[in-house]
Amino acid sequence: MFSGPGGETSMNVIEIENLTHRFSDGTLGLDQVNLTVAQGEFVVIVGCNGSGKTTLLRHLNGLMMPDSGVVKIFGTPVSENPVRARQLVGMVFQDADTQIVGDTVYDDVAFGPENLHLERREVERRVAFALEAGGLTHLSDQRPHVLSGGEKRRLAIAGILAMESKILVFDEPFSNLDYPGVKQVMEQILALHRNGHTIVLTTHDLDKVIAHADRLIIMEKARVARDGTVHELISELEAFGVRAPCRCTMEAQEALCPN
Amino acid sequence: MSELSVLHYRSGSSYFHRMDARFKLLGLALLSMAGLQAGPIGLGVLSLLVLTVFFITRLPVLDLARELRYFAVLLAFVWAARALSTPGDTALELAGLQFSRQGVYEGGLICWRLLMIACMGAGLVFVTRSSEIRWAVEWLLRPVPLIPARRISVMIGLIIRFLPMILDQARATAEAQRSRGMENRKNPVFRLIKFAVPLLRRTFENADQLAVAMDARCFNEERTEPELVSRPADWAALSVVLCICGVAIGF
Repeated sequence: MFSGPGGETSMNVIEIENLTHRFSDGTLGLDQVNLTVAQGEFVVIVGCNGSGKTTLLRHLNGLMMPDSGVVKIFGTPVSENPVRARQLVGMVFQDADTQIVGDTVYDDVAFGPENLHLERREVERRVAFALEAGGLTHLSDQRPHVLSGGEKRRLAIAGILAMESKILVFDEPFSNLDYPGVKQVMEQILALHRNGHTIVLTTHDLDKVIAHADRLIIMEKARVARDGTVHELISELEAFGVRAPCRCTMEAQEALCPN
Repeated sequence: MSELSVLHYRSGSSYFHRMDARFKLLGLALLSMAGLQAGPIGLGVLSLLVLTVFFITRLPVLDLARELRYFAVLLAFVWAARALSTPGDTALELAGLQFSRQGVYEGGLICWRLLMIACMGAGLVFVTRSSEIRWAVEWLLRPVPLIPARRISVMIGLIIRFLPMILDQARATAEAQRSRGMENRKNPVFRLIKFAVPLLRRTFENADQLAVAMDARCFNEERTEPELVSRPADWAALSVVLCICGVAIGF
């Protein structure tokens, strides 16, 4: 359970029990991972390359299935209904280019709702809402490949918003983005969090999200090595090969959250 | 990279953009079949039609010519093979090879036909969303027994989606190799291998990533269908196409 700013508690939307995954070459991708994420939480997962971050994310919507253990989304095991999990857990991939499937921005956002076999009017309503939320309405007839890096990432986010996902999973959302792109994406992620979405995000660059994270998870060698608040774990980051946020970012965080 | 490729759909409001995709696809099929039978006059009429479509849709012809340059190499081989293998009066003798007059004419005609079909295909892709082409294929195949129309339409949609991506990747690979002095290597086999291996590897990787991304957005064959509505203008266009096919075959 998660205590919100007002002291209220929320239900767990993600429950992971003893999750183990081994790749076909025998490498251990995840090793006995236990984790819960409450509704509305903003969770940041960090760790070196190969520590299991992306593998963990891909289990949340059934793109990978566990060798042992169970992943539950809103109480239902992912393995029982992967399509439901994919609808509830929207995933933004590291490389936005490979996530784009539509000929135009509009078509790309409509791809998800069309896969859900919704009525055409409902598809149109959802696409209009997602484009508006992503600030992409004026680009709806544009070809996705000519968008800037930040716009492509916002398009990917709009694509999952149109599926009305409750949990949004971001795999390295700031990679290959310039500063304006990072700002655009960060603003959108924060707006989604304010609207009640649960956010799970992996990054190598904690500076950008540290002030907003409710919780920090450090992964190492396919296991969850540490799980706690930013303040509890900040001093341990370097020991796990994760660059600690710079001092000025931390001071801003202190000013925001004195306790 | 992709913005340089003309083999993508580009949104617009031209007559051809607004046409029902089923009529466009049917028209392309009919014109292609007629084009394969056409003589010089018929091909001239087809060429006029193609140029009109390019003009109305504002398709960048120079970009298209650049995209089709490898296809032009293939056409050159077809022409040379035909010119060399068709018996007749000698038109040209080069290094002991005899190009017959009839072969040169026949080869030119075949290349013209193939070029027209390629241009019409490019025009279709330029003015039609790939999702609409998929649904049009499925709609047209539905009455055919024993044909998995939906699966075929999905595969066609993926091919249309992947073609520009492969071209973009090929361009990026070629530029990366040129920047490292590949042009200094004269052995074409060496150059082909060094070009093809990374291109294929990257294409398969991209295909894999795209498949995962599509899975993550619940991709399946039972999707919301686009609204394909035929208008009187579509029937009028089909009538024009039928007339052009008649001219192409008749002359």
